[in-house]
Amino acid sequence: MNEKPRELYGAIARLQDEERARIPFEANLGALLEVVGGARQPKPRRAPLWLVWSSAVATSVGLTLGILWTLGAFAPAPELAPQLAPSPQLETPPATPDVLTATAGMVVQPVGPAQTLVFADQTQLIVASGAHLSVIGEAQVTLHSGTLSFAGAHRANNGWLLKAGPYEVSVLGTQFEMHWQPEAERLTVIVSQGSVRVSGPGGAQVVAAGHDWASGEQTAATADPDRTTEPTAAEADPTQAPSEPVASSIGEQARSPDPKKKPTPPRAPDWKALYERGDYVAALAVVEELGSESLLKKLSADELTMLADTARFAKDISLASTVLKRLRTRFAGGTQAQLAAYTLGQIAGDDDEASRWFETYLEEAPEGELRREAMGRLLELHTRTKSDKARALAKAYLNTYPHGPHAPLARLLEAEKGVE
Amino acid sequence: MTTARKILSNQAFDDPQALLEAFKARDQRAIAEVYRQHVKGITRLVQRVLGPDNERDDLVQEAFMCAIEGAAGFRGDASNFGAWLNQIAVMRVRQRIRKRRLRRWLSFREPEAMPERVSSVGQPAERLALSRAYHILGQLNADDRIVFGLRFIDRQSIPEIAELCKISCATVKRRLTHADARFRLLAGKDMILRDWLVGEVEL
Repeated sequence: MNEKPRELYGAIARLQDEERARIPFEANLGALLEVVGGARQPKPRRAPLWLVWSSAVATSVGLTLGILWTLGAFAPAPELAPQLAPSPQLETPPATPDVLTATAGMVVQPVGPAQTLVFADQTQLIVASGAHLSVIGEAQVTLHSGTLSFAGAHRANNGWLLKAGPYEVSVLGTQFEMHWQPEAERLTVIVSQGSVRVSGPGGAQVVAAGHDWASGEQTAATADPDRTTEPTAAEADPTQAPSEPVASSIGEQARSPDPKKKPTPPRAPDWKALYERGDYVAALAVVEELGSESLLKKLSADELTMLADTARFAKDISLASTVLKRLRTRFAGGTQAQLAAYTLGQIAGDDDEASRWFETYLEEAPEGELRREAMGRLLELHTRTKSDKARALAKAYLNTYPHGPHAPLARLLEAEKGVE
Repeated sequence: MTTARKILSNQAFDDPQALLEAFKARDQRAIAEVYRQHVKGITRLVQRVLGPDNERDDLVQEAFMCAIEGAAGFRGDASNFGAWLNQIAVMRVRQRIRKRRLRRWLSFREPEAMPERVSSVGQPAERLALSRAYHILGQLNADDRIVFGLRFIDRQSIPEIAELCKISCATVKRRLTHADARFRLLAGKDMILRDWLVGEVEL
C-alpha cells in the first residue's frame, strides 16, 4: 500500500502538535476564570416548551426559526442531548463581546466589554473598552482614540483603510492591533499576521507580522522568537541604548531627541525571512514594495527560486512564471534553471505548455532528481491522447521505474496497447 | 495570567470525583484543574477537525464555558467526564462549521475569502500542504469533516469516533468513505496536494 496519504495526514498532525505546544494555555485559563468569576446576571428562565411551540405554530415566525434550526445555525448537536444538562444555559453561547454589524456613520465608544464590529466582507474589528471609533465606509474606519484589533480576509491589498490622526494604515494582510493616543499623537501598530502599510508624516512603510511600529518613539519588536528584523543597535548592545526616547529604532532620524519630531518608519521587513516563516502573502507584498523588476535583475539563482516559490505559494502564478523564465535566461544551463523548467511545467496554464516544460526538463537534466516526477507528469498529460508517444513514454517509465507512483497508469496504457 | 498560575499551582484535588463535584459547584480551583487536565486534548480535537483557524482558541474556551454551564446536569461520574468534555468540544466545532457554511451560503462568499489562520511551524512545503488540505476540508459538510479529521489526522478508532459523535460505527464508516472520496476528488485537482495523495488509506 502506498503510504503517501498517510504521510500527509501524519505531517499535518505533527505540525498541529508543534503549534499546540506554543499556545498560551495559561493566559487563556486566566481569561476563562475572569469570565466565570465575573458578576454574571442570572439568565431568565425559558418558557415552557408547550408554550413556545404553541406560539411558534400560531405564527409564521416559528416556521422561519425551524428552517434556521434545520440549517444548524443555532441548534446544539442532537446526539449530545441525553448527556447534556437540560439547563437552558447550554443553548446559549458563553459570554462573548457584543457583536454589531457595522454600517457607515456608526460611532462606537464601548464603555463596558469590548465591542466587535462585523463588516460586509466578514472582517472583524474589536474595539476595546474606552476607545472611540467611527465607521466611514464598508472598508474604512477612523480611530479617534484607544485600541482596536483587526482580523480581516486573508488577501493582499484588500482595500481596507484605517485612519488615526495624520496616519493611515492600509491593510495588506490579516491581523493586527492599533492604538492611537491623540493627545500625544502617538500611533502603535502591532502586526500578528500578514502585513500593513502605515503612512503618515514620516512617509510610508510596510510593517510585517511579528513587528510593532510606533510613531514618535522607539519601535519595539514583539517578543515573538520568530521575529524577522535584525536587532537594533540598542538591542544588540545594551550599553548603546539611548537614554531618551527615539523616533524609531532604524534610520538616522531614529536618534532624534524630540519624540514629536518627524516620525520615521522602520526598515522594510525582509521578504526572505517572511518566506521562511511561511507568510507568502506578506513576503509578496514586500517584494511588490521593493519592485519585482529590480529584484529580477540582481537576485541570485537561489534567491530567484525562492522568489518564484513566494509568488507561487501566494497564488501569483503570473509573477512566478516571469521569475522562473528570467532565472532560466540569466542562469541558463545551471541546475536551478533546469528545476525552473520543471516548476514551469507544474504551473503551466495548459497541457501543451506543461508538456513542453517537462520535456525541456528531461532534455536538460536526463539524470535530474525530478526525472521520475517529470516523466510521470508527462505520462498524465499524454494519457488522454493515447498516442504512440504516450505508449513509448509509458514503456520507458516502466523500464526505469517499475514501482514508481505512475507505474499503474503506465501499465494501463501498455494494456490498452495490447487490446488494440 | 498571574491569577491562573497561582490557581494552577494551588490545586488540591487528589480525588477525581471530588474534583468533579467542585467543578460542578464552579469552584475556581477545580475549573483551573479541569482546564489544565483537558485543555490540550480538547485543543487537539479542535485542531484536527478545523486545522489552522482563527477561532480555534475561542472554540476551546467556548467548550469549557459550555461544560461549566452544563456541569450541574452532568449525570456521569469522573471516569467519563473527560469523554463528556470531548463530546462538547466536537459539538461546538460542528455547530461552528455549520454556521460558517450557512453564513457562506447566505453571503455567496468563496471559501478563499474567509479569514484563514496560517500555521507558524514546520517546513514551508508542509505548512502549505496543511493549509491546502484544510482549505479542501472546508468544502466538506460538518459531519464528514469531523470524522475525517478524527480518523485520518487524529488516528482515532472507528468505535472511538462513534462514541465521540454519538453515532453508530456503520455511520462513521459511511461518512468516512464519503469524506475520503470527496477529499481525494478535490485534492486531486490541487497543484500542491496531488503528489501527496497517490495511494489508498485504510478506513
